[in-house]
Amino acid sequence: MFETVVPQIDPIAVPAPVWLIQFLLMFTFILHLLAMNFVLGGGIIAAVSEIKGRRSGVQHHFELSRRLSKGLPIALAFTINLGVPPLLFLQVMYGHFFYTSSIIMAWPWLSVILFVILAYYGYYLYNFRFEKLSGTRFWVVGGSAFFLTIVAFLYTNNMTLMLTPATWKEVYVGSASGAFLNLGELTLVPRFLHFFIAALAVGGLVVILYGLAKQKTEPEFSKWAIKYGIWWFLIPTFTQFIVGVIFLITLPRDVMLLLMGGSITGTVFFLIAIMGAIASVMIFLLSLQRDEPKPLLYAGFAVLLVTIISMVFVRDVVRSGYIAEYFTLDQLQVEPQTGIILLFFLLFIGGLGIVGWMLQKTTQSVKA
Amino acid sequence: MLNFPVWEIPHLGGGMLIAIVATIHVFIAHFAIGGGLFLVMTERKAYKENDDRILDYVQRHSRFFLLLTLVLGAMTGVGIWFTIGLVSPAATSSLINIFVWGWAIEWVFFFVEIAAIIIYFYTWRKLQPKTHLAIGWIYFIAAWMSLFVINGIVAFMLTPGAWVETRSFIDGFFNPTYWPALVSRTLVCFALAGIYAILTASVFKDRELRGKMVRYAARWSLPSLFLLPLSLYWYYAALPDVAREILTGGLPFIYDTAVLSVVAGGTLFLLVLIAAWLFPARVPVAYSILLLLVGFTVMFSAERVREAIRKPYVLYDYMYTHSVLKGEQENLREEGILNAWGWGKYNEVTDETMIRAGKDVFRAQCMACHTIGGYNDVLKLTEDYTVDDIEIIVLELDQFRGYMPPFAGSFDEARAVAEYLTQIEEERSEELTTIRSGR
Ligand code: HEC
Repeated sequence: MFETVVPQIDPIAVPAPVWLIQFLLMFTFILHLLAMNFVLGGGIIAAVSEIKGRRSGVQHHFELSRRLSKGLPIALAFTINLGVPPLLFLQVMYGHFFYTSSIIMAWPWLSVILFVILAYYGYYLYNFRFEKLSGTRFWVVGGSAFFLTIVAFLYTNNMTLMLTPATWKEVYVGSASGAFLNLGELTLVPRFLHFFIAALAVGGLVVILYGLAKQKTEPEFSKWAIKYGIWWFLIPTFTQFIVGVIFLITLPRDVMLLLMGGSITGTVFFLIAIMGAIASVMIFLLSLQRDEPKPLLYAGFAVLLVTIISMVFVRDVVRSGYIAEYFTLDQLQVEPQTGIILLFFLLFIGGLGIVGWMLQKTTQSVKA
Repeated sequence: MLNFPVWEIPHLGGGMLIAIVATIHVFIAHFAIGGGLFLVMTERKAYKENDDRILDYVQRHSRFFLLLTLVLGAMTGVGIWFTIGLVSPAATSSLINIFVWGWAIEWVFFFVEIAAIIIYFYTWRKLQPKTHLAIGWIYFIAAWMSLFVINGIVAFMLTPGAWVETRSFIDGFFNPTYWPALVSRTLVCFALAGIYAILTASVFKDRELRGKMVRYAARWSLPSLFLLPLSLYWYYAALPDVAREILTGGLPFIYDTAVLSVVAGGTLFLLVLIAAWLFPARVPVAYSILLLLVGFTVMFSAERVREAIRKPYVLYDYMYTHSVLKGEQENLREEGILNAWGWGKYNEVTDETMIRAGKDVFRAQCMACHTIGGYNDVLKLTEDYTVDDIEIIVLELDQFRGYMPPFAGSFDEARAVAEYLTQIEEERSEELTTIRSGR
């Protein structure tokens, strides 16, 4: 056994208050998560619908796949874009953990780039050649979704490896070639499944939303899509209750206890998240019986959003709990670059304004 | 020192891996900027001349543009970020702590950029020409602004300027090579826009249109390529003395690479000129691919040189290539690198641990630049030296060939690397003899 090594904290001070970095990390991570869920869950739903359509002959399945095919590459562009800030802010606070774990699994980590590129071109192929591909469509979209599943798995590897410094040195002394995967980690599989299944469920929400948007113009398709989406939400979420419990009990004991009274933030958000998940399942189940499910569905969305946000807080508590013996955020030195921070926010607001303007022009012309 | 583990990359070494990923990225990313202006200007030309064929052409070109820049451009950008984090984690960490708000601002432009290009692409012939053009402009401006930001961070690594004393964001950002690098890169953007446009024009069946568009595209590349040497000279003049020395022959293979870059640049100019002048309507696809390959060679050698002239630093005047901070080496000579680094199997050099400790010292102090048996092969460099020679070289590392940083370890550790290198050298030659005698 080797003594655990954690690299030093960078002597250059963090150029912003830690709470701001933390806030931006969580805020952008939530957005990234939603887009990622669309891309991964939506891709799998499209692939499964291709098969279901072929088996059942119900045209709605193909119709849904066709529409998803248009959204997937765009959603992937934004998933990538929205993934940049959380990774950036993560490096500011936890760089000494993150770079180290990345190096230890360097090749698998770097291969993320390759898999995303393959998935991306697959989605574009699926979109641009939808009609021509016909029979092979399942393989194209399924292949892309599969590559993204690998990416998710690799991310889970790194996100768990960065929290377990005790494993690092042993691996590194053995080989510096960076070919490691964190397969010995108890929480790896439950954690991965937890995120993966959530992606399917949120993919279902996207289908519901799309169905709602088409209520006026295509009432029949809309009705089908809403139902179909609800099931895509419900079935994964039922399994999630089992996976979630397994994930919870595989956590190191002291980390688990943080969510059961040990940390106030952890416990409160964990409770909100669990109750939100249960409530949303009930709401969506109820909505299946309604002729006009719209208000209930929106309530369900709202509850789920709260759940997701709470889960991101819980995740943060788990992360700090894992590494508390090596590092706490108050060890960071801070020297805010106030002027540049203001400039960032100004440009950010300006950027949103410009994108808003472009969207407005586009929707205007589509209506006209 | 920032004691991260060092990733061992067989054959290539970290510097080469960075150069490969970076060139692929830069080759697409510069096109993503210049090509953006090319899209709007050409679309405008189509409206002005009321020529639907040109509009058709831009529309098709924009699909190629989207598939290349949005997918490969963006992902290799993330790729280069991943790669520098793996190869130079300490430098990446410091860069991020200095410039995280620069990156955050660049991300805003990236966000506007992809929103704009997606809308631009999906609204062809659906929007008012004026609005569609405006969206194209937004794309181009956002894309160029992201260069404006990232250029500051990239140039900083080689010429941090007053930052070393003041530690101020602005001093580091608008550093001595900022402006010449920005002008050079902008010229490269326009040169590449023309070359990619020749590629998409060369697939045209309509000979007359092909000729017209090739000539038009050449007008983007030629002036930029012509002006590029001037701005590069300006850049050269702003470099630190040691960097200029490396470039002009201090390291022969870097000098050769620089010459290659210049020669390839001149060739590219001539090839575009000849095509546009002599056979614009008959430019074959293969020829335009050749142009791209020559262009790639220019960029690859230029990026390689830019990385290499930073020796012996990774962040100039602040952090050495082996992640030791400038001035820290004195203490490390006392403390020992193995102690400070922490990733070796042993922290002390004894007779028993000698070879393994030498291996770990090599990882910590040399592997940032040398491989064993690959690029900048240390075995080849030490072929003719005895253990004692190597030990002396290591202790006086910064006095020898190669613009190496000072060795930041104890006397015992210097001995250990020397023993280690000699031992693998011997194993190597034994292997060779057995192979030879076996034949
Ligand atoms: C900043 C990058 C860098 C680092 C770090 C570095 N080297 Fe070098 N080294 C070079 C370069 C470049 C050369 C020149 C190669 C050439 O001329 O082909 C060189 C040359 C050498 C030579 C030949 C010197 C001569 O004059 O014959 C030896 C021996 C050597 N390195 C060993 C080492 C050892 C051992 C370490 C670690 C203690 C090390 N180097 C660290 C870049 C580096």
